[in-house]
Amino acid sequence: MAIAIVLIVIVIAALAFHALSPWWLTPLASNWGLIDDTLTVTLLITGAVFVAVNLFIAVAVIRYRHRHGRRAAYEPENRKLEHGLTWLTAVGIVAMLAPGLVVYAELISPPKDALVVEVVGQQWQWAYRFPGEDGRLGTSAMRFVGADNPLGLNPADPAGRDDALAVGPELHLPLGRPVRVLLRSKDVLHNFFVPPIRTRMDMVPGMVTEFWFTPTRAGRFDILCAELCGVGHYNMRGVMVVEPQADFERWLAGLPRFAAARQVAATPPGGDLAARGRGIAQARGCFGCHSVDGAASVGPGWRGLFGHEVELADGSRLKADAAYIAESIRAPAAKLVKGYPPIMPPYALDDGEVAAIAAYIASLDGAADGTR
Amino acid sequence: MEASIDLARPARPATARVAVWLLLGVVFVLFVLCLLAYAMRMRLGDWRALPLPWQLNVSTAMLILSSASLQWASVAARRGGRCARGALFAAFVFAAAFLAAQAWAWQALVAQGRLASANPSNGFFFLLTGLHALHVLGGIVALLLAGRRGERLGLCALYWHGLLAVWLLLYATMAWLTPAIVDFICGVA
Amino acid sequence: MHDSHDAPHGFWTRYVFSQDHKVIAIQYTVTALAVGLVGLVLSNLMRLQLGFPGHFDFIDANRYYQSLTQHGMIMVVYLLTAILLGGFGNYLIPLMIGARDMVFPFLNMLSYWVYLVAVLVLLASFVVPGGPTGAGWTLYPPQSILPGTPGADWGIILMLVSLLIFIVAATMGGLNYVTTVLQARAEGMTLFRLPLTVWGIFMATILALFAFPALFVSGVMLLFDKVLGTSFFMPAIVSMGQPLAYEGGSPLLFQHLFWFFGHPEVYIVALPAFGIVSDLISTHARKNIFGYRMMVWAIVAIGVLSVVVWAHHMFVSGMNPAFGFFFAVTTLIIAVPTAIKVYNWLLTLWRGDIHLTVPMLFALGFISMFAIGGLTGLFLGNVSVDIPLSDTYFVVAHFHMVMGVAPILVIFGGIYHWFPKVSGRMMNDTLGRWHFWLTFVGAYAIFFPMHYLGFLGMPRRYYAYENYAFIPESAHTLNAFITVAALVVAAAQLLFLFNLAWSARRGRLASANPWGATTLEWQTPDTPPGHGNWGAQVPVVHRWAYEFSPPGQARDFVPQNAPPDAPVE
Repeated sequence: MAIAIVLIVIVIAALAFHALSPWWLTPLASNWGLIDDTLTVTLLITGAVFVAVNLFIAVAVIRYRHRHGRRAAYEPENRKLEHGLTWLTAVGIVAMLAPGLVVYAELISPPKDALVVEVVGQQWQWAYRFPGEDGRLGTSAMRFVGADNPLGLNPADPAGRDDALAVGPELHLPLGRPVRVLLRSKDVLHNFFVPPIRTRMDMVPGMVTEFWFTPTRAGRFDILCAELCGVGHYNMRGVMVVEPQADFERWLAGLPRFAAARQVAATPPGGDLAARGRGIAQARGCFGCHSVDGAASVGPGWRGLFGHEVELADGSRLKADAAYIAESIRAPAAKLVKGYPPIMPPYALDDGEVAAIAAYIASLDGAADGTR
Repeated sequence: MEASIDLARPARPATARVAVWLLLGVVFVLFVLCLLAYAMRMRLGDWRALPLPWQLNVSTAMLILSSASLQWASVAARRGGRCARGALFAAFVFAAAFLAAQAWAWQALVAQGRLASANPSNGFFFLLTGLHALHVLGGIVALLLAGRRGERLGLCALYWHGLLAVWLLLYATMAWLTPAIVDFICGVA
Repeated sequence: MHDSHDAPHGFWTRYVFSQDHKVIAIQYTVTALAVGLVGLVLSNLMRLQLGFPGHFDFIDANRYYQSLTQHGMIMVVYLLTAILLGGFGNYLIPLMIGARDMVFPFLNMLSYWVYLVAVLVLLASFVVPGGPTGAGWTLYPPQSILPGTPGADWGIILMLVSLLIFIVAATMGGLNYVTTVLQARAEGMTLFRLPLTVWGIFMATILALFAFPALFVSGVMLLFDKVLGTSFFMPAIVSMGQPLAYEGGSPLLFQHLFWFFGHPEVYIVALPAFGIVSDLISTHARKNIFGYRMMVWAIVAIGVLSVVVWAHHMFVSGMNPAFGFFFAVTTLIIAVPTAIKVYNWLLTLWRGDIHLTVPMLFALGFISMFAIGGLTGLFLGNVSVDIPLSDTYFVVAHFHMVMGVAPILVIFGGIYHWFPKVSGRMMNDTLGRWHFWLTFVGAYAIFFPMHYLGFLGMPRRYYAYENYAFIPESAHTLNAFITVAALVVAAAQLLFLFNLAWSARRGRLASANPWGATTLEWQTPDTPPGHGNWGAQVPVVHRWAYEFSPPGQARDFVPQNAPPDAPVE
């Protein structure tokens, strides 16, 4: 008997939870209201069945629970009832599936005039690329990746020379214009997920995947990675800024172009050592784990590190000098900072590169420029 | 009826045969899945067909001879013939020769520097031949345990023929399947 | 197998290296429950971090991802699959079909010992350098074998080796179960007189035999990529700034192989649960299972369809988007036979004589839990609804309810139901009820709210959710609530373990057929059944397994082996 009461209470509690829940789909910020509608249809149909099943059990228990002298009916089959229920189920399934497939057909056909943007993922950071005046993205391959070419663009491809690069968490998009998002990954699976735009796709190394949407609401939105990509997965943050066309164009115009950016990055040593160190750290993906603004991350932060004491995993302390930083780059497991997992691979950098990174870390001390 | 008589009822002869057929089904599915992966991987750009070592012809012949000998042994054993023993011995020798020829083929590839990591076609070669050899090895162990009882030899022979069929399928696929054929089957130009 | 079935005498041959299916079943069950306990503790570690982030220093991101991975793998493979096939399958198949044992007792014993080796290799990965793998139970490459993932060196290798060994064990067992059902049924036991428990386990075993090879192939290929440096699944990669030697492989190839195993695996767990719960409901409602033939065909249909739905796990994987149509359709078609099963359980209750015993409570709890888990599957199977929800807590809630909690409720119900036959003693009723209520209500408290975190868009497999603007503070409060519920449910399992141990020695003595069941296992001459199960004479079957409350009979059940003309008092 208790089970009947509990099932009824569960149904009531579930409906109340649904009605009162402050947790629901984030307010829509794209054209994909149809997805929400399909979801609502599905929720109504399945919710009704959920209520019906539980109440049926409750009623059956109340009416037919064992009492003295009670005997069950003998009814092996009832063809009519069984067929009826089968067809009813089939109708319910079609009612959910049909709109779903119509929406899906639209989801996978991007409009021809869409703005193209490429998103490149790596552990655990984002980078973006827009085509230049020629309207075409240059080809790319992993073998081209280097200190002066973090996204691996093909230097021989003229279409890529004017591509605009945004290496860092922030992506700007114009309001109200369809966007076709092309996705690449440099290392492992990632997934470009912005909850309010609903649609998304995995990023798979070795291939280009895509999805499309139209931003319909201006604002700043969290970009999350939604495919487990290693120990820093939960911290792979990005920001999608949706703004009016004019603001977007201003931002886009300020981005470095591939050919020009390459020359700056390739500036021989002798210039600003710290700036060169920052470039190397950027290309090597150091910022995926090491923050430069004091924020918590997968690895120890760099701000305020140089010249200060650090506590190691074995409890000993030492001063973070150039020699320690060099060792930490080339043999990271040798002296682990307390509280951090031993996951960093060794990097075979030459003395000049190590010195440049050390200089960059030193430059982050306190008041120095902490932004990237 | 005496309790002990009923308790000692042996499994029906057909029972073991059902199990061997099932096992062959599982083995077949395993290798077909390998070959599906082979076909899918083949279509990605970097595939270079592996020139198959000529030793495979030797091993194929050995496996056919082994299969035939075992069939002969099982038939002979059931009829109580005297040649069962010789045929069984021949089956062992040919099976061992098959494994030796496969190892020879491996050694030849390694000597040419065609390691598993050189190209996925090499990787698949070692994967497929290795998995198959393990199944043959398992068969040899079973054969050692089977003794010379006709019924058991029959089961071993069935397994042997199954592995021979699998090997011919693997060999044919590695020799003749090309990306163009896969594209044609998948309906992609 | 030709050896005589004289009962073995020594301690070792009787209890350790036993070839008796009943002893092997107990070995499987105890081992699976023990390793499941590890999985339970790991889940609580995760919940502690999610509910109270930053309060527990010993759960760093590494440990969190390792717990997450090992929890999933242990529960799905080493607990659920092993206990349902190796435990329930082993115990019940021979008894329910009227056989003296499995047809290959030695192979059966070997299967258990190989399974034990797989478990030990898995546990060994907890103590190797770098610890166990933290790649998620799906073990997706490239991430599973690259730095940046915990246990990417030894952990992943031991994980894969353990899985390969497990598959060998499952195949040995599986060949045995299928052959036994096909060949060793008692006289009169036609396929359409088999109890649904046997049907469920039989179909699940066939699925296991033909789906595990896909995991085997993907596991071996991944090992090749890791150890030999082949590029089956590995494309050109720049990992942490360093170019690797891999080239040209396809991560999607692994996903196809994995899910070609992975989706049938859901039904490898679900079908035995379907079968067992059918028998529990029918027996404790004193009424024949409604629509028996439809139930059998539904099991067969689900089994067949389950091998053509795998890519619904890959709607946002980057595969050819056209596949989405096909797999959404097949996935929703499979809902029809599944729904039929639910209707028939409900209609079995209707006009029954429902005894609210502990096994029945678990069975009713299963229907409720399975219904919600199945219904949320309709969201995720329908491709366009899946896209916003995939990899969120909605998915976590869905699969835990449908293939975690629901089967485990059946397993508990089954243990309470068959314990009297296995041990000759009843389990304690009061403890059993406490166990049920805490587990059932607790599971709702844990998983129902999770759906809403999923609607909100909270991604799964996150170590922490700090500073995400779209996640309100209240979501963190809800997470703390879920954690408390999870701790209570975990503690409730101690009641069960205590009950199990206590009742085995001190429980009230049970009669041969305490529930008044019709199936053959309750008609053995001894309780617990002796070696060879049936004494002098194997039973002869005269009717189906659900002759409850037939008109014109004094008793409300007729055993399958009762002679047709014998007067039933």
